[in-house]
Amino acid sequence: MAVTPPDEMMFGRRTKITRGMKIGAALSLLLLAALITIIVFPITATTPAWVEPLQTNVYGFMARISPYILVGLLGSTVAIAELVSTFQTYPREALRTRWAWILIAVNVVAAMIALVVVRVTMTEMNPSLQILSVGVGFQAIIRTRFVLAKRIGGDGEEGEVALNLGWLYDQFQNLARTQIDLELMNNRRTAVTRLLDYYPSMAELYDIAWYTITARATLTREQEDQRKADLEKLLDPKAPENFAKSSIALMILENGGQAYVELLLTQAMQNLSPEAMAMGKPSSADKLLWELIENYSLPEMVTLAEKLCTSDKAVTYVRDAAQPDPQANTANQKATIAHFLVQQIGLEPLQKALAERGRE
Amino acid sequence: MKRFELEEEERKVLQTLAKRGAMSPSEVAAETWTLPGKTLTVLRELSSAGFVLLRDDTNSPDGMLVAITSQARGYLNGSLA
Repeated sequence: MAVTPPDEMMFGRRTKITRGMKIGAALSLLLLAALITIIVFPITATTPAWVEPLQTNVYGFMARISPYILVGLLGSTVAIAELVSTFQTYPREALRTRWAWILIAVNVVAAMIALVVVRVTMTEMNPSLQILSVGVGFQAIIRTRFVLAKRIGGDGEEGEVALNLGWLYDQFQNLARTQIDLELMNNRRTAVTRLLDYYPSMAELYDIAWYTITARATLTREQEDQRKADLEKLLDPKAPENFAKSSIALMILENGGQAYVELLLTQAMQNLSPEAMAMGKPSSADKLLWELIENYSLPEMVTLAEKLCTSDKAVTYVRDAAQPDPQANTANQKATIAHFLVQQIGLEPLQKALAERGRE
Repeated sequence: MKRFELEEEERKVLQTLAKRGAMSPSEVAAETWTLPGKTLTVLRELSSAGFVLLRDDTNSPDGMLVAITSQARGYLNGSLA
């Protein structure tokens, strides 16, 4: 199992927030702050003479470009809302993909071009109305199919005369959705594979999935019950084991999101670190269990219990559990006694006993 | 799921599974101080009544996994009793 440091953990390809982007965002904020300061700067008798013309020019410039910024913001809001509603399970991850940025940019640019067209062709129109009609109306128009005539009694689109202004946008939106889904698919597969690497036990995966569904605050009671029922179906004995495990891991991802899976992986990595191993974290209990089962026969396990258990009742239980039983096989008996010994005696004495046996 | 009167051992097994989550039958046996053969018999009965899910698991030392169902949780909480 490859252990990757937590700071290197990232699923598949995604648009990274680079240093350049951060610098760009900081510069934009600084520019905005400077423009606002210039506009609201109070002109008094002591103010230098060059400030007033600068303020007038900046105000004029802002007055010219603010309608475009406003319609651009409205366009981007609509595009973000579309993306978030389409990818409800992974909204944050979807917004970080390249095609999401392209879709938002197309909406912004299209809205700005529409405003230019409206301003050129409808010069008499009130400027506020221009912004409103483009910001809201244009977004609605490019997503609308107008039915001009419809056959009487006709069902569906057959026989309709329609003007589909949204066709072009539909095609582009479908392309963007497919590309975002493919990019997320890559991320999902990586996350599921890594969950299976670090949580190989189906019992542990099942418990995590159950807890994840229970812990979701936004699910209604019906949704929660439905998801738990779906989870239980995955434990169907007829379902192949690998399929069941992958599906449970995918369920954890879909219910908890990518950040939650990253947290689970980080925790698993910490438990697998040499420091955690030295402290006897759960993973070493599992290892000890397997070593007991593989290295001891049933009579030897009874002898070990007689040697290490302080309670007569516990020794009696181990003796009874080691008796031949038609209802249980040896593997089941050994596993039961191994679990029992770990519970009753603890890790350290058993580890010592195993080490002594190894030396002998 | 038909009406089911739980015996003491069955109730103990279900309470362990509800409290501790999914585990192997051998772990259930060790937790409840029940003998392995008896535990498997109880789990099979509970499985046929729809109270637990029992399936193969190669990662478990005894090759099996058992988990409590939502219906059994409801039963334990008294909602179906």
